[in-house]
Amino acid sequence: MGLAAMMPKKKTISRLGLCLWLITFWVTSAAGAGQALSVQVKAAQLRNGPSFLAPVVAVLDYGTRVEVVTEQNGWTQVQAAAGGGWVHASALTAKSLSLAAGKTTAVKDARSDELALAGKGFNREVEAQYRLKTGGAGYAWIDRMAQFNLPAAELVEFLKQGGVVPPGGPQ
Amino acid sequence: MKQDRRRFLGMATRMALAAVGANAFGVLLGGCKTMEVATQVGTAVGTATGVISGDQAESIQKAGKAVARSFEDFTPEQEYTIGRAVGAQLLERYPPYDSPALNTYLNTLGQALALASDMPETFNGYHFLALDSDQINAFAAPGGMVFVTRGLLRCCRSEDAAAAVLAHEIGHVQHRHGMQAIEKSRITEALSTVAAEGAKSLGGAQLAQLTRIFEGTIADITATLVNAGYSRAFESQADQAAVTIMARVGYDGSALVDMLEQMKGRLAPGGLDFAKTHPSPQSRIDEVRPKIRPASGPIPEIRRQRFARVMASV
Repeated sequence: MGLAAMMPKKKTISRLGLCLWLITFWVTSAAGAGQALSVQVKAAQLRNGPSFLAPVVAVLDYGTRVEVVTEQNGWTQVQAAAGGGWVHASALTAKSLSLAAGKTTAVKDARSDELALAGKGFNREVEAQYRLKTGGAGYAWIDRMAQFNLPAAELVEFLKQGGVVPPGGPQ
Repeated sequence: MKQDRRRFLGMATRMALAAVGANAFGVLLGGCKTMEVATQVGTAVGTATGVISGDQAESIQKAGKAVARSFEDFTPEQEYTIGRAVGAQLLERYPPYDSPALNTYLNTLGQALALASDMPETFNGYHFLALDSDQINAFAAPGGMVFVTRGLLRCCRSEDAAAAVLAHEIGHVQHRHGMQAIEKSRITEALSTVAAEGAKSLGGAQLAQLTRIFEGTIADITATLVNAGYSRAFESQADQAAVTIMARVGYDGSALVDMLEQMKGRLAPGGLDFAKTHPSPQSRIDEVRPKIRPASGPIPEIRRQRFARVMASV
């Protein structure tokens, strides 16, 4: 199937999708604007526009609750205690993460309750035990790897310099 | 595209169910409450007493059962912890290739591609590392740790082909294929047994048991990545994701076919690498070719040059 054949179909689907989303939101009235979501990544960047290039206005920790204002192209406009802005939808979840592993690191002596209540706490403590048991030789590089981070502006510059441009211009 | 539609239909169905069945919502809320009770119980026990009433033990068990379903019940943070351990295991089998220039290049390219994926955000982001091995192979650990051998990089004749390799691995992360390699029984064991066990003896014994289950979980995923390979359907999904991501960013999707052709010529039959864990390159080419958009023109000189510079060390 060529591109010409693919594109209109995709648009039809997303438009249909939008309609159905809206309908379901009206019916449930719990989702969409006003819905409470949780940050499901370690540090979500709250930006002042729906783009990875938009300036960061705040960083939201894992488990932070936000309220949905609106959604657009995979981005969610939210209101958080730290302020308003846009977060990519993949950084948010409707599930409650308030009992998740990360939280308990701030609570003293809570390790047992964390394991019991989440019942599935594959957390840092389990990792530490696992490292002891297996020797954990590979972790040195895993920790180094986790530091490999490039800012979005540099990524975009890399693509631009290489003449990597999607048809219809950069997005 | 089919994938999009299926996902959308699944979503619409879920939403419709939520709309029709207020009951279902009630059950969900009930589940949360149970969890809260368990929290309090656990906290009380954890802080001091060590004694627990029958009712409370039941609450903990319920909490365990309430969440004992599928890989999707793992939080993104747990998925990341699993991914780190899988990565550590892979690094015991395949030494890293410590080339700052190459690894910076792979991370720049890979993270740029990830931004255009359907899941640009994971718990701790996407990270890429070259492996010092002549085997033709690549691995995506849950959460976004991606490993590519020098052998596979040598199958790439352009930056666009390298982009195809990384985008394919991002596809595995985005579809959470690694997490789906965890044995169902292991998940149930992790969630319910541990919760029940917790009522009797919290602390060291429970941590030890959870660590054993964690070990099993890592073994499930590592065995799939290294020995068994994913299903043909998963590989096809990852190829589709690669083509989609490349088109969004502006790379030439046909470079995926070029890379597969190169691989076809280099794979040793019966080898321990891609040949063992992946569908044949030709079958992947036949399946993915119709989905690829035509190239918009030749690769610019500057892109060729920077790729050649980096590949000099590969």
